[in-house]
Amino acid sequence: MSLAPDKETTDGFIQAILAELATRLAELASTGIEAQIDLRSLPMDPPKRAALDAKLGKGDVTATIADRAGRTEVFETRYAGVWRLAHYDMHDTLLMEEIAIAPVPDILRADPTDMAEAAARLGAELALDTKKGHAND
Amino acid sequence: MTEPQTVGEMLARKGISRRALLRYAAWVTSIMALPSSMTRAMAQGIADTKRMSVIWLSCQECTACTESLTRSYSPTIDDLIFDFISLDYHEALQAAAGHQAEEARLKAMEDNKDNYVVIVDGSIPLGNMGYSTVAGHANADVLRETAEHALAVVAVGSCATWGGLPKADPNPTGAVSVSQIVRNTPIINISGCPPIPEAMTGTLAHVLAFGQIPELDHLGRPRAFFGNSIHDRCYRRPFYDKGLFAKSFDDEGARKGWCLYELGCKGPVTYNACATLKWNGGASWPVQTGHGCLGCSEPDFWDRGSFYKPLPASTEPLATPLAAGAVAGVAAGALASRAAKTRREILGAMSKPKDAADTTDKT
Repeated sequence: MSLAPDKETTDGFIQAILAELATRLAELASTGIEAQIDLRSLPMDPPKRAALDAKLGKGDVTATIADRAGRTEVFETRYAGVWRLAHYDMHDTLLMEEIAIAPVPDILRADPTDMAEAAARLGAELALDTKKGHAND
Repeated sequence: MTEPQTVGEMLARKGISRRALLRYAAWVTSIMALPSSMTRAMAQGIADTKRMSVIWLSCQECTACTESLTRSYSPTIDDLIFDFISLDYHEALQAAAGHQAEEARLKAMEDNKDNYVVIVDGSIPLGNMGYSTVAGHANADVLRETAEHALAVVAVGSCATWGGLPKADPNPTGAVSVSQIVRNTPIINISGCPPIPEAMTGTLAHVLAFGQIPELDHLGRPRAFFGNSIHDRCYRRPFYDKGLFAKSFDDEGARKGWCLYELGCKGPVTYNACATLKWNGGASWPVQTGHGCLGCSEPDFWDRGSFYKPLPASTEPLATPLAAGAVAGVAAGALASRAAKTRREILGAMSKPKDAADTTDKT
């Protein structure tokens, strides 16, 4: 599959984005350098956005991150390593959209600090369970 | 349970994940037109720092700047900023009053020397110090005292940045801006009547995350929010380019959304982010409602002639925009006068003079 513009994406603006994606994706594959494209800052009208979305399509990974501060929808496009992200606030208002060129988008990775805290919490819960178990013996 | 030492620990305690912080950072880097690659660094910077002590001083103001920040569209993602800062003094919001309130300000200054941020709304009267006082102290004296050991001073609203409505001719109180009072501390101007909340929160988040002042324009305003004119980013701009103008507020052109230039819109000479960030959670903005831009983020907008006459007829020569370079020149002075390596010094280094405009301290 090629990222080169096809008949549906002959618009110059979309071609430029796709060319940038192709370059960044090749760079990711060869060097591991990740990149992001902020779609909010690009002046795209609905037809252009639709053309870009149609070209990128959807791959086989979809994820939703929902927390007290809002929600993020993530899916991989038809092109491995090219991800679409949409961030919403707690009122479900769209804050921004971006394209991440990465093996996994940052926001999906567990944070080392969170993992350390989780390990400590799990250890404490296990210790408590063990204590309760002994008390019930 | 021990008190959280960093913003990251505090957020975790409140059940707000690092992923939520990353989302916030992605949004801030986007609205500030920073490279997306800085998102991770911003999130990490915020998580690793201590909550920033903020002292908010209100001078000759109407409280709209506070309203803009706290009640714009609550709760929004903006509100996360209140988890990142410790608002140690704000006359309208704090529970303490009288001597207890003033003691809170002095304690915050002592505990966070050279690392707290002062936000100021309202202009400062110099004509008669009694025009505006707090606890018997003149605004100018309190500002000088509080700013002396601040990391930075953020002047919010057109009163604090340029003098605003109180300074309008004939300026009965002798109102001046923050930059005409504060000499040795970096100043960031966030103008507007009121300023856009995202401009305030984004700037604070930038300072908190990177320990640096964002890039400023020649008037000391963050370029991220004041780098483009309203006209350049206006959705009605194509009508201007085609020569299609509304001639009155109820004519066919007005109904068709044509350019409001001939009805007095000041968009071509006004620099702000209303056209892109809009107001009330992105719902709308003045030009979208059918009214021309008043130019409220520019110096002395109140005295620039009729709001309803087209620009060539209404634009009078502006008074010398105060502080432009003074804002930055002050910062350079601050750098030279500090020996200790503090975050404040780093801030000063970031705000080098754009030009050499001078100001006069009337005190």
